[in-house]
Amino acid sequence: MNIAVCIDDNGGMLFNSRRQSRDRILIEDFLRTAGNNKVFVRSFSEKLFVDINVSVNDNCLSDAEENDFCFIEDESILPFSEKIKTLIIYKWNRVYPADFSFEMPEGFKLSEAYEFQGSSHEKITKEIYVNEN
Amino acid sequence: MKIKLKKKNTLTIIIVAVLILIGAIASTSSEDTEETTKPAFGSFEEGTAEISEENTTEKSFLSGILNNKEDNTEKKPESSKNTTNKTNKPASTVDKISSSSLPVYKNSPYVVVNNNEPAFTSSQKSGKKSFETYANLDSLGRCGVAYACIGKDIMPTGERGEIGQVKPTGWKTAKYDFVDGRYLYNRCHLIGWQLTGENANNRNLITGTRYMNVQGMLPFENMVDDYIEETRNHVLYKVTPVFKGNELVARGVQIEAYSVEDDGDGICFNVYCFNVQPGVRIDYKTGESALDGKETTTKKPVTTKKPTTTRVVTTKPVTQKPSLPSSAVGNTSYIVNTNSLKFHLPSCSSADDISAENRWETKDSRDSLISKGYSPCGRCKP
Repeated sequence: MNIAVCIDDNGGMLFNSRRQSRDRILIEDFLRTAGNNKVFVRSFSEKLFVDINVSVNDNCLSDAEENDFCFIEDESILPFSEKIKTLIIYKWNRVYPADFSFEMPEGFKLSEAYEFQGSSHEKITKEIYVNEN
Repeated sequence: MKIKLKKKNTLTIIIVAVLILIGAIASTSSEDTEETTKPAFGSFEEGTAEISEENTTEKSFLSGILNNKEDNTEKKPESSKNTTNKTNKPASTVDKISSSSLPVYKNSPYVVVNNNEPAFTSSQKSGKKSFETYANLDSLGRCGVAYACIGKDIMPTGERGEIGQVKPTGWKTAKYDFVDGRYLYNRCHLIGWQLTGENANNRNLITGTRYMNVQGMLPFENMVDDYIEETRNHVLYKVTPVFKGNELVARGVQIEAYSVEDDGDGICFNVYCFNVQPGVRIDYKTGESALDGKETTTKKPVTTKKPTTTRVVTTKPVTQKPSLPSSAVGNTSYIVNTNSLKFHLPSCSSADDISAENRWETKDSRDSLISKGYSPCGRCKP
């Protein structure tokens, strides 16, 4: 499966169970990247995908198959790292408060990186890592 | 018998009505007291449109009672909304903040207060109209509570103005080479400029350390800013500077925030940011400072003229670590306005207008300046 996460400069993802940030153009970029493949989100992320055809499934990290894409905001991906083919990390390039942070699985290598302007972020960095295990 | 019963019923109704009336008056009076008897925190300015909007909202007698009842029930922390409750880096927490028992700084720029539940009442939470209020300065000239319902309509649209003319209580010029930007103190907006666009409002500026400004307050301001930009919703936002006794420099600020339209689903926090600077000992009575003896001796005050930063430009990334090279990186010299935090090409006409006091010529890279909180001039676009 393929995973996308968003992190701040300190690797943070959530504060008080709320997402640190959001950006409409980032979501569009993720959906373009997923193309015609199936997209899973957990119920926490459902609000970001209103009127978009995605599968809402809190067990998506278990259920997703090889070519599926999962947008993950509120769960550690470490237990599922063996299943992950590519990992997309979107970086906000800002600092937010955090009490839940991203944990990078081992064995992933950076293959591509881009920068783009978001709807409310001057610069979002998109890094794509491939699983070398 | 019927007459007696009728009289008794009438008497009962009168007694009940009187009791309700007394209760309502007592409750109202208690609310008034709460807002006006916080000398250390100052009091709201009377007569502002925003305050009158809050206080003169027409309510029926019954609805007033109902609202008061609702307010009383809110002292219990709310459970998280439709969110997961996960942490893998839990922050330190305290039950409440009071000037007599302040939390102790332990290497984290903030602590969570009351499980992140802000103390807004239900009537406050129901307002979806933007406003901002800033308390009058107290007898010592100190700021009080800054409170706003922030919507996109009151967020800044232009460039930041000068704020160097404001000298908050306890203001001292002190430089240390290990402090980001070197200046120990910033003129620290209670409600960040990026949220309400207040420039040189002396009721919104306190003497705050660079550490509190950037590590403590800015991340929360960023979170609120992004949320409003993306959702166009409103956020209740209250910042309370906490002074101890007659001290002129605040020990910290309490920030409470709550997103209105989604009942706190997007933004909900209550934190206390420490007005400290690691490595520096601060005399909060006067603002004087010195190296903290416990710290390494390589940290020393700076006496040379170096870049000054008075406030972070908060609509820009502040501590970003770009992983990719920027096309603009190079040895270009820039002229920095250390007051407005804009940087310019040497040929920019705006650079000529910068006073000597606020002018800094540097060979820092573009990314380096941005990472320090400066932003490129909109005219010369360096």
